[in-house]
This record gives sequence, structure tokens and C-alpha cells, in this order.
Amino acid sequence: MTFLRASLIGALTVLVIEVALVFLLNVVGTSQHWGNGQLGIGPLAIYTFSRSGASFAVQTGLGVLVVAVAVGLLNGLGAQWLSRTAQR
Amino acid sequence: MIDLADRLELPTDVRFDGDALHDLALGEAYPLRGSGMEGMALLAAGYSIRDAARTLAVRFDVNPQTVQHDLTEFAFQLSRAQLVNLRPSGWRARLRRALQVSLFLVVAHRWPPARIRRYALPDGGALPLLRQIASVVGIRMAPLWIGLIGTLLLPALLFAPALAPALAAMAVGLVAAVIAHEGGHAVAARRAGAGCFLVRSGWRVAVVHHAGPDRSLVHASGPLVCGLVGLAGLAAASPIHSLPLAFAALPFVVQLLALTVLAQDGRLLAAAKGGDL
Repeated sequence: MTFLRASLIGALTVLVIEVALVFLLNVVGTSQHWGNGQLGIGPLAIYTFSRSGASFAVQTGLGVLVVAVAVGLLNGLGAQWLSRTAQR
Repeated sequence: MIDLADRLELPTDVRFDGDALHDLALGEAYPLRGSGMEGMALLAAGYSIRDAARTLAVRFDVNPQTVQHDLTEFAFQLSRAQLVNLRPSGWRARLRRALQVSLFLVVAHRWPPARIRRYALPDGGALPLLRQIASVVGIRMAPLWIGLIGTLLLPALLFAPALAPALAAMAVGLVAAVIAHEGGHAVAARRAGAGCFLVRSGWRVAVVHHAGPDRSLVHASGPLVCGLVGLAGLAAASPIHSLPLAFAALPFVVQLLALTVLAQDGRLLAAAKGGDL
């Protein structure tokens, strides 16, 4: 139960932060005149930046979900380990 | 570090009634006996640890050194239990404290353990709570913030002056996010019917509340409030392309990480059984 609960909380937390980062990257990219680009883990895209003329857009990729699930699992494992340590 | 010239200060939500210390915020009572009661009576009356020890040694005809040691230990335990605040009295004690800190820095290459200070939180809604938390975090911790923010802003002003307004906004956001985080905990604790108070020790500031089986929302409320404010700020900054507003919102969003096991809130949340979340 601890594992599931912590995994879910961790994954949702990171997902919300990643969505918030879209807004931040949009503002920074527009003001700093970023061009096209991609932020990711190898071929897996987390954010894709695209510029056409004066407009700048940030899109999320599949990497967002992968990162959220990975962090969620790590959070779950961490919580389980802490719970076992506390029981000893 | 306790100085013999230190005096004890009872927070407004702690009362000494002669034979017990009453924690009015958490509804706990700590009975005192014998010399503990006598020592507490003198310390509560405003005696310094040294003067109280002298008085007790004469009264009970015992070795002053032993009484001094026992009373210092007693004051330390009370401070650690967040029942009293220790404050240096007079400029000599302050100077001694500054020298002790300097020596500690030179010898141990780190800051000495900071003193714990408790602040009562007022009744009557969210606004007085937030005002009290803001006065502690924003005003009493101002020297620490100025030190931190100054060291962050100075290089920015030198090397990237264009980013200075955004970084200044982020610094303001950082202080506001700490206030919102602790405010969220305090308001949720009060709504859950749990008494609470604010504790500060150096950089660390926390709302202490009564432990209970249904405190999930209290643990989560601080980061959640910050997350909502941060998301709203970023969403507002995006269409108007405001870099300072986006940077000001960033510390709020980062507070969401407190929901993970990296922070105490997240560990308590993960360990909570049942609850209302």
C-alpha cells in the first residue's frame, strides 16, 4: 500500500511539475528567441520546441510520461525502504 | 550552545503554573517535580541560568557547579522539546555568542547547531496565521534571506544584468513560497482541529502540529497550495511572456517536490494510514 500510494503521489507530482515547465520554457523560449529544438533522453523527446516566424511553441513528448513513471517508481521504492527501516 | 547568561522565554502558547508546563497549542501538560519545579520557577521569573543556579545552590546548600550543570541540561531539554525559547541577555552574552559561532566555524568548518525558536500562531482564520508566519519568515529571517539572495543576485548583476529582474522576482517568490507552504500546513491543521505552532532553527522553519491518524491533508496542504499558486503564476506568465512572473512562480512549483520522499512532508504522507487524501 505504501509503495502504491507513494508511487502514485510521486508520478503525479512530477507530471504536474513537467506541465508547469511547459509554461516556463514557453516564456523563456519566447523572450530569449530560441529556435527549433528538442529536450529528451536519447531519442525519447520530453519537450519539443518549434519556432515559426515570431511565434514559439513548446510541446510535450512521450518522455514526460516515462520520466513521471520512473520518478513515481523511485518514490515508491524509497517510501517502502523508509517504511521497512522504520519498522526495524 | 547554551550560555549561562541565557534567559528562558515562554512562548505565548506555553504556560507555567507552578507544578507543570502546559503546551496550550498541542494540549499537553508536562508535570515537574522537586528541583525541576524550583528551577523552572526561577527561570520563568526571568533569572538567567547562572543566577538561578546560584539561588538554588544557596537554597538547598549544594555544590553550585552541579546545580549549574543540571540547570543547563534542563534548559537544553526544554528548548529541544520546543517548550521554551532561550535568548542571550545583554551585549556581553551576544558578543560571547558571536565569538563562539566564529570559533566553531574556524574549528569545525561548519555552522554550529542553530537554536530552536518557537512562535505561537494566533487563532481566528487564515489571515492572522499567514500574517504571523510572514512576520517570522519574511522579517525575522530577513538577514538570512539577504545573505542568500545577495550571493545569488550579485553574480547575475555582474555577468547577466538582463536576467537581474527575473532573478530578483525569483528571490521574492522563494520567500513567498516558504510563507505559503507553512501557511498551507497551519491553515489545514487548524481546520482539522489540530493545534499548531511555528518553529524556526536557522534556515529550517516548520509548522508543528499534533500527530493524528487523519493528517494526510495537513502534510500535503503546504506543497499543494504552493503548486496551485505556482501553476497559476506560470499560466498567467505564459500568454504575456513575462519572464519575472514566470521566475517568481518557479519556487512555488518546486515546492511540489516536498510531496515526494525527499522531504519530510512526503515521507509522512507516504507513511500515513487511511486519512483524508
